[in-house]
Amino acid sequence: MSRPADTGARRAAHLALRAAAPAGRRALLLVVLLAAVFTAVELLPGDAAGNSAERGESAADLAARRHLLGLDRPLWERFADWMGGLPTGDLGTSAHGQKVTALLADPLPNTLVLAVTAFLLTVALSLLLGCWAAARPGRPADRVIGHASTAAFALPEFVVSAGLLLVLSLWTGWLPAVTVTGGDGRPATWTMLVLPVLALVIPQTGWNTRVVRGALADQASTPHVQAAHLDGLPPHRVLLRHQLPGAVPAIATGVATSTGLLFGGAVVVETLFNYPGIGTVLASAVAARDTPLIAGVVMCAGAVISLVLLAADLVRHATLGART
Amino acid sequence: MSDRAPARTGTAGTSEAPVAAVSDLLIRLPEGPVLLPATTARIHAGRITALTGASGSGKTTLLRALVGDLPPGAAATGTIEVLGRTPHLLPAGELRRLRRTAVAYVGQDPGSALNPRMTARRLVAELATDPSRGQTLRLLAECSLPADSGIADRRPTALSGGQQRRVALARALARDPEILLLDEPTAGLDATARDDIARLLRHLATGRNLAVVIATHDPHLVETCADHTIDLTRTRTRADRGVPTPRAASDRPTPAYTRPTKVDVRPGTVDTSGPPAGDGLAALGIDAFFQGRHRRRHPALSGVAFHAAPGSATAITGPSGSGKTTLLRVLAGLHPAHTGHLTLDGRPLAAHVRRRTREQQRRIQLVPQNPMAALNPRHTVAQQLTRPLRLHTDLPRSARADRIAELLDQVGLPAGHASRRPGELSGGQRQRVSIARALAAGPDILLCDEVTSALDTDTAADIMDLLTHLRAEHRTALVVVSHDHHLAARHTDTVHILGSGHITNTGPTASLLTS
Repeated sequence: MSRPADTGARRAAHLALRAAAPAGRRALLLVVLLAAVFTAVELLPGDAAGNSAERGESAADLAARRHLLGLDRPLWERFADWMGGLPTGDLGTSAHGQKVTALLADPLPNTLVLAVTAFLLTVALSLLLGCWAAARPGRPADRVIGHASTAAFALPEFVVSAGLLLVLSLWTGWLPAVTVTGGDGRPATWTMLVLPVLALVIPQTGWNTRVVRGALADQASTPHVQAAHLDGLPPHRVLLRHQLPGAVPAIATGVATSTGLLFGGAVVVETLFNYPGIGTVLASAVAARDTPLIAGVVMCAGAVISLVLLAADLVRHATLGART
Repeated sequence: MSDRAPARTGTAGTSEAPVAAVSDLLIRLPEGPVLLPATTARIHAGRITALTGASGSGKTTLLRALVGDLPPGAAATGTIEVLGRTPHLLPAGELRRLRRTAVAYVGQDPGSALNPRMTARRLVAELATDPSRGQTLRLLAECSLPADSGIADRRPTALSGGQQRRVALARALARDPEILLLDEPTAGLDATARDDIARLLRHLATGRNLAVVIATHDPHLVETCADHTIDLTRTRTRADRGVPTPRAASDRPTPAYTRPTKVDVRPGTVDTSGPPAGDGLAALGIDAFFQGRHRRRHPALSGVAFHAAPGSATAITGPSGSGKTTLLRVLAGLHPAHTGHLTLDGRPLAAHVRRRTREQQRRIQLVPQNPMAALNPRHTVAQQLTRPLRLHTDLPRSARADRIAELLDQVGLPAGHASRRPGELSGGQRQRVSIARALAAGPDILLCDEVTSALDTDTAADIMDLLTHLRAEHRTALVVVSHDHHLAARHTDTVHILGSGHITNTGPTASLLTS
């Protein structure tokens, strides 16, 4: 039974507090995640010194490298060190002595271009297909979309990639099979983006179409949607004005969840197409047990995913809030 | 089916061809219950036709058949003709045009039939032949929702039950229909609002030469405004549906279903066997708000004090929109946006129902106004009743089925209805399931929000008798929101009269309401 904040200043403070609390919780979650990453790399056999060693290095050399990289210090100390640099934007130094921020400066924007394009295309396609299916419940179009989306989601990215490569590149020769990196660290032409984006979009559209279709079906059985049909409103209007607004919270949550899967898929797809993104960086960093670099990648991906989830929560809150 | 001679001659000549006619229309599920017994009726422009009959007699089925909406799987025999066409046989596009331009249907639960995400103005404008702001506001004003009340910019969840009903009516009128079908248009309205509606319907029928069909339990409405009555109970046979045979209103001492002579509400295993100690539920200085658009707050209650002692019966009345439902929701812990103090037996009671203990939750039970929204549409009646039994009693699993049958019997439903879902019940039957669910918890304080407004007079009287019996036997405190002054006077001792969020008068029901 709290008395309402009457003054403008108190209301503003209240609002800031309400936005800050979830952001704080997510930041804490990210710290826990990074700690888990540090521990996991430590538990893997081998370390950065051994994996970057040249053939024939003596044990003394190895120990010296280990000391140079700080691997002889306890794990928590290295973690605290790395976290300490974080507020200043310093993501540490990789096992090869380069700044992690410099290593990520080119690949991160490339991956963002890939993931954001795939994300937008996924949202548009799944809304379109989901609405199309929901407007024809039980009819052939609905069933075809239902089965096709299940099949698409069941396909792993590498199978989709191989299929796309075979059809669109090797047989028809329309698109380049491999991404060639230009002098500025970006793919040489935009056509090189098409195959990786499609390989990500197809499985994710399968998943999200099912989410959209299901959320719309739930709304279809609500009394106000049935009343709208009895009022003689055309089906497309009932769908867009009465069914879809109620389905938005469920759709936003489903779509936000798939950003995590998109990033995961990007690692596989980038490797397959030789796309210059953080996926390639991450794969080689894990092979080299390069903890600061892995943590840097996780940090960036985690921050992006957290932001998307926060946005989804805000959308959900705003649309649910309309009901009270 | 009787098609009684018009009580009053409408302005349109009776010799004119009817705008809608059904003859020997029978609607049933294959191998299943009859939903509408063979009915013959003629509906004329400019006249008001009333469909009467007990709850579950097929009034809603007939209204929906007139807009071409038969229950899934149901088959119709006989003929039905609306503006020269048979609605349920029309191709989808033509049926849509008929609904969109000529025949408007308003269900009995307008609260859940209005899109919760649209404002009243947009809801009306969506169907209007002229969606301009001025015309929309005029339509709302015609349905006694004046433009200066700010109601046009509220969403349905920020409106009272009566206001929602009038928004739904404005939405129906917006398309300028030829036939207006209204299911229980006065349920949940106070006497003044009811007279307003009756006057409005008369005005529409004559002014717009509109054919109005109302399904109603309200004898007053039938008397004041119907030109013409069709009674659906006349030829009912009991075997048809297994529902209680409706009785004639004049002699009601022979209920067709057996009411138990001794009403045992709580299973013997519930711990509070004696009368509850303490001084019941009290509320002090309650201010409550609800949120409109742009986080604007509308006051719903201000400075309300309330007390319900064990075994007492309190009525809350007042005009539509005066905060009656909000007060019940505050007491039930469902409207936490308020200031003030709640106590139960002298101990503080949390504002939010989730912060209350399981025992406190059990002791205060609410039967809401709108049973369709309160019952889970995917659960059978038995499942709805099992949850409170599982949560609030230590009845063994094996004894639950018997207890459910007993509860259904108490509210006058056959035990066979336990396997039905809310969609397969009539509005009145759903309301009784909702009451049975509240009783299953064995409450000490029962909050009833217009629980009898969707029931016919006899069932309503039976339900009120049952509640009065509980009060005598178990010292259950009753808090009844009702517009029915007679009912309130008969069954309650104290009345609080609310007017725009304030308690304007309190006193013994007998002297305040009968005068």
